[in-house]
Amino acid sequence: MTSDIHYLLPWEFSPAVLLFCLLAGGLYLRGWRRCRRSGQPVGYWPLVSYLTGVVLIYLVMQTGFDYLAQHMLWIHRLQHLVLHHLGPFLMMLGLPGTVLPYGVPQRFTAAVLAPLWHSAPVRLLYALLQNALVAPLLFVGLIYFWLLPDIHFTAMLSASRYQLMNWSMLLDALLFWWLILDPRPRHAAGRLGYGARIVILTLVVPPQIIIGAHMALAKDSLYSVYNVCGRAWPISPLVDQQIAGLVTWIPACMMSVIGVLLVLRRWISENRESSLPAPVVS
Amino acid sequence: MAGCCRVLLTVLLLVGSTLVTAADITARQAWIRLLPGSLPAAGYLQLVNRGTQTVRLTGVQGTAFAAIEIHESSEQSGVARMRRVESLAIPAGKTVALKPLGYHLMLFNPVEGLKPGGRVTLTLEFSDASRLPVAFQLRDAAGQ
Amino acid sequence: MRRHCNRLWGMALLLILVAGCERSPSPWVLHDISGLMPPLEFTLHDGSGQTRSEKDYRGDRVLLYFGYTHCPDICPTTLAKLVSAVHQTGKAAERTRILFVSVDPARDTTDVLQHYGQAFGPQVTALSGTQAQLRALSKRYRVSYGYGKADARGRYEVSHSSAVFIFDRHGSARLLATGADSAKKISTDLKRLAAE
Repeated sequence: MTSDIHYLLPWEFSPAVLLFCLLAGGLYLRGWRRCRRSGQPVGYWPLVSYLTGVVLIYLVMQTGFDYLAQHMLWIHRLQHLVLHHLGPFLMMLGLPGTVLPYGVPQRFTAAVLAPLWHSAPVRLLYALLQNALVAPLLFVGLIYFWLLPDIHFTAMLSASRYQLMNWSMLLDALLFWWLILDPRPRHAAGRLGYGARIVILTLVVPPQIIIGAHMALAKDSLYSVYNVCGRAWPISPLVDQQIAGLVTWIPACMMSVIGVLLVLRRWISENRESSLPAPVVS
Repeated sequence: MAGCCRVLLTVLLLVGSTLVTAADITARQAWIRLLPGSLPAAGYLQLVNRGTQTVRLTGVQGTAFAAIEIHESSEQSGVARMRRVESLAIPAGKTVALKPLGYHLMLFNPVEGLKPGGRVTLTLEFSDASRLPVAFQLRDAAGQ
Repeated sequence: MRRHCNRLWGMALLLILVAGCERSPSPWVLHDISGLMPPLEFTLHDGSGQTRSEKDYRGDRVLLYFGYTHCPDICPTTLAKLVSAVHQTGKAAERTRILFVSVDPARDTTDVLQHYGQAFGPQVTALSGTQAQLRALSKRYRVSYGYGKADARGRYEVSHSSAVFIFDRHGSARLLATGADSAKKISTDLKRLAAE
């Protein structure tokens, strides 16, 4: 029994991840309740989606899964599928833009967050990262960067680089999927048009197919670090790499497809709403 | 009576084994790495098949060890491991090397008194029912 | 104006990426892991049952290798290669230690460790520890190990990393050798390390 429990304990405890997940989950829950009370209720599905995202992110970073991710290429790819795609995607479906402002204590918002948010460096950085050209480049670029064999080698050996890798994948994905799934109405500041979102989602697909296929179809082992430090269990390096390639290739691209479908649905329903005659207020 | 039987059997076996000596297979550079105490040792050699048919090494017998198995080491998955193999094919006209980090004989529980510099004879058994006695040179842990 | 700005941002990002990819060539033959892995630190015991830590090897260059003694092929072959590499460094060999860490403490009693280390010569020290100590060390250097199922005679296989970590005399992790690296390659880098 105790041996089962230790799989649920962090392999390498990270206060930052714990804090991130507790804050992300806690503030959202608080906000969700206050939304209800203030008469602007957010449904159960966004709640479930958001919390599932947070829990998934925590599980892949702070359980025995993390050990496996360090010692098996395809599980590492699965970890990044959650960090870079699935987890943030589910979180952004939870309408955090609506809920979190209710969750964060107002005094903290007024004293810290608002001034920070409106400061020039933050505005500039945000504008850069959420730029319609930079965002997809960064989203795909990070996948490529951490999969460069030399970079990957050092990231897997150095605990701090490993942390940096996982955080960069997670934080970039939160920004990226926020940009794509932004639920705010038309003409909200910094909001990207639906057409542009679909173009971005389409653009990020081919590079992911290419790198996934490159791994899945390679005749040699590309990532020697697992050969050096040892895989979690005996499996041929090529089989490991082939599964890793498929994980990078297929589910990652499916996320784009689902993204496009969601954006299309929203686009159509918004068009329908705007074409209806304005409701008469009595 | 029983002793008589055993002698007869041994003689028959000896005669039999000489009759089916592997004419096509020759062995060379046979050596054993001895580890301290009763730790398992490893045996290495080259097997040359001068015949026209593939012959398989199916087993090894010897009184100096409690059990002898054919193993293959692999480091390819990053984890150093060993795998037992039932037999090892020696294709016609080819040389197969049992060498460090590859195929080797795993020799369990060596009898006491084996010393580097000495020799020990093991009998190789092949799929064509032939047998080949081979003298192995004993070396120390570092292979010297 | 907006479009112009976009292009500028894109170019800036490209520059950052290119700058990040450029590296100076490494003077080492083996993998240079300086700054990537933590300094040498462990608590284990040796063949006499005495507790050993990194402090006992301060001032020595250390080669750290994980294995188990019931391994007749890979472990002795690797150790013999390391011994040969150390011998090739000449005088520097005196202050170079090969630490063989057995990850199979159930079978590798102090007695076995003692004889095993001696069999490879004065440079080699065989160490082992409790599962907690071994796990801490393997986690520190991000290597894996595990046990196979025991056969009818109770024999089981142990899988372990093939990495050799090399530390300088201050205990800093410097180089990483793999199973494929020859004694000559390893000795080349050991000489360079000794000359520092």
